[in-house]
Amino acid sequence: MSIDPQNPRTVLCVHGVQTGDDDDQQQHALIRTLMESRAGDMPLDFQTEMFRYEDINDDAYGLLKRLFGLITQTPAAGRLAQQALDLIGDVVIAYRETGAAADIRDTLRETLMEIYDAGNPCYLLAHSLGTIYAFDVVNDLMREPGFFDRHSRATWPVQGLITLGSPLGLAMFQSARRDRVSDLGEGDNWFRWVNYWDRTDPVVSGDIFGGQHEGFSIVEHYLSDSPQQGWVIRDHAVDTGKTWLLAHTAYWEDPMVGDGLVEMVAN
Amino acid sequence: MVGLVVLTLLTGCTNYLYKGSIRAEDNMGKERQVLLYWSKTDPLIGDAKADIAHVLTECGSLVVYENQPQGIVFRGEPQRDRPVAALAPDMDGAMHTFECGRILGAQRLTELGAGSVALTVHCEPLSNTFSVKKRSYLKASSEPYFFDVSVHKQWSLLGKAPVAPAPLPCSE
Repeated sequence: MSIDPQNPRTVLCVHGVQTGDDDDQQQHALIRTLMESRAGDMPLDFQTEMFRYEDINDDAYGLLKRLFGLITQTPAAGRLAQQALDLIGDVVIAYRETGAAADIRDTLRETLMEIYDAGNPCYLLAHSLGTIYAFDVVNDLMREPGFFDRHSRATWPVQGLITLGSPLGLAMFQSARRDRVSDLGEGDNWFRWVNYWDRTDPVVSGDIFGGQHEGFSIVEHYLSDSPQQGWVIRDHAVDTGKTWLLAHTAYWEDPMVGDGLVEMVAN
Repeated sequence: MVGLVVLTLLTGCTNYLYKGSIRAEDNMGKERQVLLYWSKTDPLIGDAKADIAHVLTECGSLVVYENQPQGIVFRGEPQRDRPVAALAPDMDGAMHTFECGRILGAQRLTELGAGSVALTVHCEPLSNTFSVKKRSYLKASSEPYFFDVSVHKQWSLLGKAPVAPAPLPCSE
């Protein structure tokens, strides 16, 4: 199977650290609204889909979560403890490379393959912790034979990567599997990765009080001068209009992110 | 009460939206409406932030000017932009980044205000087999383009997503 550029494009959205369950993850609807508002008269036929993994995370620490609910003395405290565990557990699963993290990567890969088998160009958009999984899966696919022939984008299961509020610049998520991006090899096509970040987003900067991250680069350090690499990586420091934790969740509705997303998906 | 004060200090800010438009030729020689806009957020605590400006061309493509160590620059990409030889600065052999233009008169977007803003373009756009329409933007020129920029500002307790100008209608 190969990708047909004339087919409708799919934007597959990957959420980040969340409370709740899979049914609560509806960010793809926000992205559809955002893209429609910024596409203007562009003849762009696209759909947005959601990749959800909150239930995999919940299964991984469900017993602990129920235990927290039992040992806390009031129902309100129990719910609060469960929600805190819900958030922290998501991070720990990604950080410690548990079996649940592998399940999430496998499921994301399967979802991408379904879109690929339908012949639709897919653009992968990920937020927060979801950017870790998106990065891993794209790079894993590039190492598999049969995909990502640099001479033909028709063999690319992912046409472009957009990350929002990514913690990929933080030391805690650096590991051997993320010390470089996979080379595309010889050819004349380039894989685009656009990373949007807000200077006061604590998940990007690691500054819990929202102090501004200085400098211009979050993920562009992955660029190399090797002609074999084949990636174009861009950090865009977007002003979401908000600060601190509010900035971290504001990307979904930011018009500048919408402009960039439309531009990527239309090409 | 203390919580409200802390929240105000952490999230209270003034939001600015700057915008201006001109009519000018695109790379295909057609006269177009061209819109420049950017937002700035000035929090109660800490420095103001404004890092990228967008240029939208009627029936055309997005161009991003952004803060970089060397100024406010439109960074070209292989397969998307091509330097017009007579106008482009030395590319220093970089294969995935080259300068395609810049905003003049400031090193950072936070230094710019309302009034006349000049920017240059010295690349032309490229399309590919996945482009839903031919890419286009302001024609490369040895002379800068001047935008008359106005500003709208608003104070907010929790911050506010920029209300960007609507994309320019295209009758083609």
